[in-house]
Amino acid sequence: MNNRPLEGVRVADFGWILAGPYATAWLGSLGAEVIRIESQSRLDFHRQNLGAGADGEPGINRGAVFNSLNFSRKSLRLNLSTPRGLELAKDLVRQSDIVMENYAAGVMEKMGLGYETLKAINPGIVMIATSPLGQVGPDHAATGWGPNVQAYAGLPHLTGYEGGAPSGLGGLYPDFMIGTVMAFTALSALHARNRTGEGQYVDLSMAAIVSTMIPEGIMEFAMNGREPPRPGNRSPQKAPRGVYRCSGDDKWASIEVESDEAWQGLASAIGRPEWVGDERFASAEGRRGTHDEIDAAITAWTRERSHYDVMHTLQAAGVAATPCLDPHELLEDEGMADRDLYVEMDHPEVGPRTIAGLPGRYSDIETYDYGPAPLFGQHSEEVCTGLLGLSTEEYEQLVAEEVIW
Amino acid sequence: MATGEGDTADGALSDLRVVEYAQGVTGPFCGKAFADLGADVVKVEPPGGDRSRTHGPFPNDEPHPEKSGRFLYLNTNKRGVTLDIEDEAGRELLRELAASADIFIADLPPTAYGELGLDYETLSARNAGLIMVCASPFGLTGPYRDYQGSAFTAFHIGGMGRETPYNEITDSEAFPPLVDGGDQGDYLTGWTAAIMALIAVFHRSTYGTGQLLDVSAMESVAAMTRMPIASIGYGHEPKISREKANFPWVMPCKDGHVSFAPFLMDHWWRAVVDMMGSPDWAVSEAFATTMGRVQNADVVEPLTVEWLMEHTKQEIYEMALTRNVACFPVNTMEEVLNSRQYAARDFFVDVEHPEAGTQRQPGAAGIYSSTPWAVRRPAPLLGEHTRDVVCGELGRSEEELAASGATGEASG
Repeated sequence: MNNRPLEGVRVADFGWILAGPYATAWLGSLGAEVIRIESQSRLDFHRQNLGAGADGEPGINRGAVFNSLNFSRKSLRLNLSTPRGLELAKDLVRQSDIVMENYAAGVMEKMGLGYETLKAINPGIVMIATSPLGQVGPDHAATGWGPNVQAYAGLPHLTGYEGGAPSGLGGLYPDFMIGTVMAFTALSALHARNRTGEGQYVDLSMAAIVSTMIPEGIMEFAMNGREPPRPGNRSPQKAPRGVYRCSGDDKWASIEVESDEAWQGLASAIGRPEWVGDERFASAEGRRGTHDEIDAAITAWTRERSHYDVMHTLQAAGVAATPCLDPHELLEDEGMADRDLYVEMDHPEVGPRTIAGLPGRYSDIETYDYGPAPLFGQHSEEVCTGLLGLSTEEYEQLVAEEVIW
Repeated sequence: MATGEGDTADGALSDLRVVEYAQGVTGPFCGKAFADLGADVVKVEPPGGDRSRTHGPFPNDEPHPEKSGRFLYLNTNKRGVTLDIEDEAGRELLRELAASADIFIADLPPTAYGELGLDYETLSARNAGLIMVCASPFGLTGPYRDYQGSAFTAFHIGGMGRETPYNEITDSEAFPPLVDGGDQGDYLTGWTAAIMALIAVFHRSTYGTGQLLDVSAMESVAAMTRMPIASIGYGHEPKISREKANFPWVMPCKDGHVSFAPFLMDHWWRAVVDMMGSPDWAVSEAFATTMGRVQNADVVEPLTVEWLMEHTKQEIYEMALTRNVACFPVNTMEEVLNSRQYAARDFFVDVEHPEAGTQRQPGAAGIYSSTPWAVRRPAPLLGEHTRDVVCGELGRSEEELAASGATGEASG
């Protein structure tokens, strides 16, 4: 199977929590050898799993969040606060192509693993450092998780119910998206190295990544000195647009009318054919002015139907409409079944479990090369006695000395 | 602040040639990821132009096809060609362009590729190494293949709407699932497309073959809502939703809002207690652990908010900065544009454009030490490079150009 395009690439993975592990999930699932450095001295928040262990049992290897992100890699326990642990980490970097990390800015330097140090060890190394606001600049010390950082970037200011407060997004946004950007960035720098032989350091700002994804709001202010409105589910361009109550418990459908033709399709489908020729609704501008009236009519129709019925009926009339799916529904959805995003991944301790893999379908990669999330330190001995060249006695000594920790 | 054209240093992807026949956000944002790192991206538009040209913002709110903020931003660093693919001569030129490309990005309706002779089989017959990205709302196969979709509907069907606003509302009848305010359904799908295309470049080096990439907006959004899926697989009912369960990401303060996460890490909480002046309630053992704070969110949150309401977002942010606590202001667009941190990183760029004038837009999120991100040219005028590409690169005569349906050399 042609699913290991990154065969031969080795990644020293210092990533943790959400974005870092998701970034290296991409690389590991494409054939790179990802070796994640872990330790009790800096245990991943999601190893602690806070009551979310498999089937209600706690355990360092049982966390749903950890295991569903840290697939396709090895786990090497190294206590980086010991000189020997640090030395072994450097040995690993010497033999790696990529270093990934998403600690707060400056943490790698403080540990003695800054880019200048690593570059001296391995001039060809590609290092991707991802932190909330970047490694340089007056506020580089800022710390936090992706969902906090999105606030700095401006996205919650644009998001919220009409007339209400700014709101945070779901999906732990933007952490997983940032993981994808980290992986893209690493591959771009590796691509450059394949051409020039030169490695490099990329200082990625999480907030800046999000700000590059809201140019309309930013340029609205830059051009016209005006803050964009928070329109809830409505749109300044298209009308009607909204989320409508359907039959069933907390079931909803999203509907967006993209064109005047789609409007005619909607009016006919919901039993309002007289609206087709009504001048009040002929343009998006007219429909924005009568949005409440239109919404009442749509809701009267959707309330009597399931959210899937709303999709199928309106789509047949040429209108963009979808159910608002919850996780249980996504797992059952026929459209998702066709995508193979949800995969059963085996795990050495908790067995096979369904999790979300990576998106995308390829004509020449039948499936990503998924491997299980490792047990804590599962590959310590293998990596130490193999790649790092220690004898079994030396390895056992380091375990006793809490270097392998 | 970085300015205008002229930086000629090679970008990381400067050896790649990309042809883009895609409109709106998703495909062009994918193309931009390559263009900004130095790839030669030829953007092909229909004679009427990419629909983004009609999308705001516009300077002084005056719509103009060369002044759309969205278009200018998404197409900086690309060259522009217009071709009429409703005409066979135009389709043939597009096929020739695809034959010259490493990557061809398209967003036609899934059944249109075959009808127009722009399917992967036809195109790869002339260019075996071709990597073709097809972006669509639901993918090239499956029960929803021919359905309409948008950033808005993708966000909702992919499950993010059910989790937005995060942990905030108490009346789920009055507050439906909510979309984000920045068309993230399209932007994040653009990133899925971009990483797949770059993966395929590595794949081609390893295995020697190009391939067809099928990118779905619904699936790209669903990949973000992976935590509740994992919860179900691990035997837990997912707790993430728009309904209030514990701490939201956004909390009010004296002059706006902050995103404050005092509950996640114990050392953050200890620093927050210090920030608040160590009030009696806060030093309680009950709140010393993450579990304790989450389980007592109904006590911790209102008391924390009481303190937040006495301080401005800048005061709170500065206090948090000096104590290494997770806390950011909920920035307005004005504040984003005035960020001292962004300024120090030259994040915004002023791009000079012959029709739109100089416009400020977001620039590099990542600082590359040896292959810098750079503005190399402004977004193309409609048809600006048609003659250069069709005559200069594809070797067509002026007569053939005129007969091909290719139009424009500069917009009027």
